[in-house]
Amino acid sequence: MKTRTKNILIVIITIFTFNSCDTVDFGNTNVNPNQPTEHLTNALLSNALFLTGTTSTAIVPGYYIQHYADIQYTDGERYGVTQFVYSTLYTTNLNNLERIISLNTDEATRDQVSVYGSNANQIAVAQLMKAYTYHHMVDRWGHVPFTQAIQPLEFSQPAFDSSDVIYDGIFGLIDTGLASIDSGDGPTGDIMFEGDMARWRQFGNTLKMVMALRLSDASAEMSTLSGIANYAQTKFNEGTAGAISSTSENIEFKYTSDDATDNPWEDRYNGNRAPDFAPSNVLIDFLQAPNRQDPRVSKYAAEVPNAPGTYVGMDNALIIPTVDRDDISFITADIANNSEAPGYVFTYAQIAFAKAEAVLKGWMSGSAETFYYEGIKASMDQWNVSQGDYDAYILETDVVWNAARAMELIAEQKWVALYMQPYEAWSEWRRLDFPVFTPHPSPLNGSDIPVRQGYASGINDSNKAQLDAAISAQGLPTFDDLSTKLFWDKN
Amino acid sequence: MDESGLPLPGASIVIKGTQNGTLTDFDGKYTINANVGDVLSFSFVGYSNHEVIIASSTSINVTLNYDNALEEVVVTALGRVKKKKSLGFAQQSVEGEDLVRTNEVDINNSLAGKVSGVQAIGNSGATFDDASIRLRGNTNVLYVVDGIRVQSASDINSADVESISVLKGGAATALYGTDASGGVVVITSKKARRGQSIKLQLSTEMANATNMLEYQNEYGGGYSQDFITLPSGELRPDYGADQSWGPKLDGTLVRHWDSWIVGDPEYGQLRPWSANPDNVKDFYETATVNKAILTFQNGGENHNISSTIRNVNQEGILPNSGRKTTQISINADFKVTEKLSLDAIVNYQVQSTLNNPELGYTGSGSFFRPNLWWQRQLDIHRLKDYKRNGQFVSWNIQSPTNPVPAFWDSPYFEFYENRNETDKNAMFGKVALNYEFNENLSASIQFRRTFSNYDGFRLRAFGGRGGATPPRYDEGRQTRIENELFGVLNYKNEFGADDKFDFASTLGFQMQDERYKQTFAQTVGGLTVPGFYSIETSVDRPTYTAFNTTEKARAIFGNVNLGYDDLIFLDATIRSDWSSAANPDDNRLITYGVSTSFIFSELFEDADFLSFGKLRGGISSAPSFPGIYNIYDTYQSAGNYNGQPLFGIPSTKANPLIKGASSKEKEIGLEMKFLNNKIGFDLTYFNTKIEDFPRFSSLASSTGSSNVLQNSGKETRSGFEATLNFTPVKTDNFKWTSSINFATIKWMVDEIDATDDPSIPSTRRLDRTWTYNNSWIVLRDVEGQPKGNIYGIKAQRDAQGRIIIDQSAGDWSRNAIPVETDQLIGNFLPDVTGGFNNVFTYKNLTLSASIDFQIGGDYYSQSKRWATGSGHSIETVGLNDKGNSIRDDVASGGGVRVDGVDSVTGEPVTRYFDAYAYFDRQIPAMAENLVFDASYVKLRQLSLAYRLPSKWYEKWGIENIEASIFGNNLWLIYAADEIDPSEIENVSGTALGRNGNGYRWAEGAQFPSSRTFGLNVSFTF
Repeated sequence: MKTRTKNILIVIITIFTFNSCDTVDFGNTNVNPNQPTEHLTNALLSNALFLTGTTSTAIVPGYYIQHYADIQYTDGERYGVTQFVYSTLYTTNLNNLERIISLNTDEATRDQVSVYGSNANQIAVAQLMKAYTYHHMVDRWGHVPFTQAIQPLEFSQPAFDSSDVIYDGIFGLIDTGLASIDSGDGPTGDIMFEGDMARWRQFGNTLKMVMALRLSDASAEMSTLSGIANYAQTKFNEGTAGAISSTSENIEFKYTSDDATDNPWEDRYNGNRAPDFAPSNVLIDFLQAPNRQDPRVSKYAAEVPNAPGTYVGMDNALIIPTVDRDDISFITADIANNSEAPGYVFTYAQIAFAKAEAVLKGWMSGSAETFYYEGIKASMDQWNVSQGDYDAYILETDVVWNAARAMELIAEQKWVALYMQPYEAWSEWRRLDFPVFTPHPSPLNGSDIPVRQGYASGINDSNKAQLDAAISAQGLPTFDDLSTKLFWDKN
Repeated sequence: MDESGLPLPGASIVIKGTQNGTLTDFDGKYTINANVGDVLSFSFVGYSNHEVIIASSTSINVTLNYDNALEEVVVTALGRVKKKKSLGFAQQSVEGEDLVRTNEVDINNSLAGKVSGVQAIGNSGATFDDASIRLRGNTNVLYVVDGIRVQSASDINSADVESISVLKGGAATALYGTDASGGVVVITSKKARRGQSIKLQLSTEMANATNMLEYQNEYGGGYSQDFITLPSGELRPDYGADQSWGPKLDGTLVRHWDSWIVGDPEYGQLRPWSANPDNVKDFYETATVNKAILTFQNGGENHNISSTIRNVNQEGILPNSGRKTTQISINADFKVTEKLSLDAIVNYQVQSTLNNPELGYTGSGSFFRPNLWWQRQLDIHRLKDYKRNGQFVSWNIQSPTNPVPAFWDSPYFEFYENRNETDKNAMFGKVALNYEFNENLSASIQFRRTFSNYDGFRLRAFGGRGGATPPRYDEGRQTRIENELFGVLNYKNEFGADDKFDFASTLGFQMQDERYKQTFAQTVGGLTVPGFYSIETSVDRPTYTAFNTTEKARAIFGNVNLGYDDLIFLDATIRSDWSSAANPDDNRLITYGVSTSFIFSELFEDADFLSFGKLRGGISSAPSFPGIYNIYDTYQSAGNYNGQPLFGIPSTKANPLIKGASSKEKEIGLEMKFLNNKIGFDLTYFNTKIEDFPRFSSLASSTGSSNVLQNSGKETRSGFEATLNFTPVKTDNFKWTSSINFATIKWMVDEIDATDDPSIPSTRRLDRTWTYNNSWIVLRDVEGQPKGNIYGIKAQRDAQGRIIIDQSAGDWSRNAIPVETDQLIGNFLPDVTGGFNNVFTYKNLTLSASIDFQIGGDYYSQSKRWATGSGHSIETVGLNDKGNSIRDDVASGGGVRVDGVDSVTGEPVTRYFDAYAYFDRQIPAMAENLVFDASYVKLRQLSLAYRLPSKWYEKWGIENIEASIFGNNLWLIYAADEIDPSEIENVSGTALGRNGNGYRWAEGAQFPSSRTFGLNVSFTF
């Protein structure tokens, strides 16, 4: 009897304890103490702006347009990589920029974050940087998620937008950004222009010109899409007045001497393996052609250690090079051994050549010849070539203005001037199809120079249905195809 | 004495038919007055009785046989000792004695092949990494020593282990709650017996590298078969190449790398270009491992104290690597009053490790990987002298005039200059106060604490790559502290007619707090003071990261045990857990475990054939909570730009609703023994369902986040486990016991996500690794498929299974053999695992052999990818069907023959590929070629132990001397490739380091295994 009472008591105690507390209050135990919750729009912006540096110091597109070649392992110039990952552009760059916009818009946070610059200017910079980021992406992959991107609550599987729709959308972002600029303080996290909104105005307009020119062969489709007549010309001319207008206004990303944020080329040449990159023989031979004798060769390349005073490009058509590194030219020490060498985002040389082309196309008035020489001069200034050397150079047979082959000259000079702006150089080469390059004789993928970059297989793990739709919409043979031209890349 | 010859104190001796009897003393000795012709009956709990008719001898020695059929007692949840026969769930034990013979340090290795459903998965023996176990497919196994949840199996002093009890299913582990959902290994440490004893155990072992890849010795380093002709007319190879596609090793006189070191005797010398077949083997050293264990025990009326000190001094098979470990444990209990007793346990470990190599493919940057980047002909002995004339020298110089290595320093530079060291301090212990109110009611309150601290540094030395690589220094510290307060109230009684009902119940609580702190600092941009390594002397702002976490858990539980007449048993548990990591509005989980057993053999007591029969069954649930810090949004530092902070949004999205979930499990078992326990089997079937567990799901990165922790998915795990024990021979002097066990595992992914939206992915990526740019191999869960399928690239085939060949594409082009991406090419989980153990005892001699095996499962071999791609391995040489070397030019009849059909015409076609292109590109482009069957059979342990006759030494006051010789990791009897599939290193497919995710499905070009022979001697005083 006594036992039974005890048993019953135990059961009662048990039931009571089990029902007494549904939850236990652990206070703020589960708030991560290692990461701030404070909205640091300055730090989010600085981080997102790094992209302008990484795009201008990339290597892969430089192989395509034969600016660089490998010294030992030749995968680069043989198109070894087909899959290019875009995820951090969304999770770091675009996500940060969207957050800056929402924090500066939301009533609850906009006052709090205004310590990092006026709300309007923070939004302006974020919109312009979004435009830059998406433009970079479309020119690499073609269709990417745009209208449904970074809206996790509404779209867990963002659809890929058509490249032309995105182009039109980017112009919208630029306009929104430019319109948002007010007289308040610029953003404090602006590591590009230190909050100088006038420079951001130039950035937006320059981007507009670059994008508009890229549409030169696709203007009609864009007009159909948008209802705007002479689409490319219109957008180009919207940008001309506000864009950069001299070499001193070149838009650069400033690397620091700190190894963590220094010029990536310096790390490639001073890392834990021998440098595997050099200017290609195609570029060096072009510069040193008897009818050119380009003074920039000594600015682009280093002297051959075993033959001082000479420049030798690395043969970019090999499978297995056995070259002695002392018998070729490296990339100039001003870049390869200079932590603070800048990344060239947009240069006046490319804008001047754009204007030369616009004149030829009848988009604007002026002299194509003048703009052509202005472009060469801007490039020479950018690389610190003396006036005398410039004067001599423009008299060379294959340099001097020749109306009969004006477009070819512009394309050649643009290809040379866009050294160290590899994505811009590759895109312009795709559009202009000049100079003519010989594809690698033993490519690892395909048979021709890539005209797009492939999607990464990782998308199959998270957004396969939408990717499949984008692949079929673009008529790609495989998700990592390199051979199907983008919509603006005609013939 | 018992079977192993140890004295049994407290055994009872009775003259049959009388009340006259006595007990043995601590030394197992006894004195009794009896007459010739009387029958002495010897008995001891857990052992079968033995009767002897007294002849004339005044001394009668009796060996009692441990009888595991009837009264075997085992340790179950919360350390409770129960009769094995009462258990309603699968449980298997390994005795501490089994660990002694081979002096095994790693608890997990000692479980290999011994317990059905438990698979030991180790790391390469060249590293100092611990093995882990996979229990019913789970790797998150909880280790509990004397009630204390230890942080790592490596913290346990195996010399101090009395027994290991493996609790596999939910019904067995229900009392443990959250951490136990993957099974529990309950370890009971040694306690002193009555009296005093001192035991000294010494062993020494020799370890050598084994299971190395087979290398070719026909071609040397280079990318082309032609030497380079120097202006002098002399020939030289391509030093800068780190592959072996070079010239034939035909003895041609050439300038080797060291012939360019000015002032060196080799300077200017020509030596033959010839093979050094053992250059890799000779790099690995014969390592010595010395162990000393000293155990003191003292037991009395009111106290028991046991203390073990172990010192292990281990050299590695890699040069200049080693580990020293000292462990001290004290286990004491004493009665304060008649009712109050106190237990105190402390285990402390100090360990220092020199040069534990980095794992994984990316780790090869800092350590020697002869499968990857090497030249076959190199004379390893010449590389030992890596500093000549004050300069660091390497085989991998860029050119005669440029001695800066293209990639690699001498492998000896890596181990002697680029050092890393880690110091570990670990402690676990408890204090328990126990109070017995009366014979029915008792209570215990315990405070338990575990602590571990790792403190290490790594350096990239000055002078690396001829000074071209900037030096670097980093240091890191990790500390984990867990505190637990635990209390129980126990009640037991017997009632009913003849007290046939046994009743026991427990009510308890548990409060756990866990804190973790980590700091890491690394220099940036080099170091300013030559030869001095510190964070302060970083050229640029050093990186510094700190990471602190706190996690709290609370639980209450209750348990009832009911037994009727040794015939039917019932065990029921209910437990409620709360976790700080879950959504604060929903942070409780209630789980249960109910099991029953029915000893049906009790009903047929007269059956001689059937000695024992038990049917058991149980249902249970086990809780699982989310990881910490997944609820609230934060920002994440991304470094610093000129003093301006860089921040991002964590790519893992916060989920405020994340909560815990419980699994549901059913288990049934049948255990039978026949012919007086000579043959027996134990069969278990289990089925576990998991639903809405917190799992990371990939998000489309275009949403702004890469993944999120979600309560999602359904999985089912089921399997059979069987153990068959038999004693084929048993005479007075000779006994052979044999045990075979095997287990199957079927783990199905029933659902990834509950939504029926076809655009929601029905897959979850677990991990991935790469063969080269175009070819990722993915470990992935797919709805309706077994867990952990391996997906990768396969060659396209026509309807008849023939490979398609595109004749228009070059040998190097991936288009030459068109492929299909994302094809199923394997699964990481084995189908069947098991072991086969035999013990032969002849008088004082014991021979034991342990084999373990696995059928099914696959792994990806990064070693094979690079050993073939770099032209090092044996596959890359030989003759083709034309009788020419496959390395000869295709145009002159060489090349690797591939048969297939033409991509255009569909007609059969034979193509010869350039060997370099074929092995470096075509093979890795098809990951199917690099995924190997993980089936294996391995003779893991062999030991021969001899107990020296006591008459030899008893006059010295020594009670017992035992000696054994043993071998570990002896013979990989069967495997698909050279690599031991039971030692796939724990690296994540994409990440460097040893923090793999436990899947062990892809090795990253790992080091070879090591084989050990040892001699062990123990003295008991």
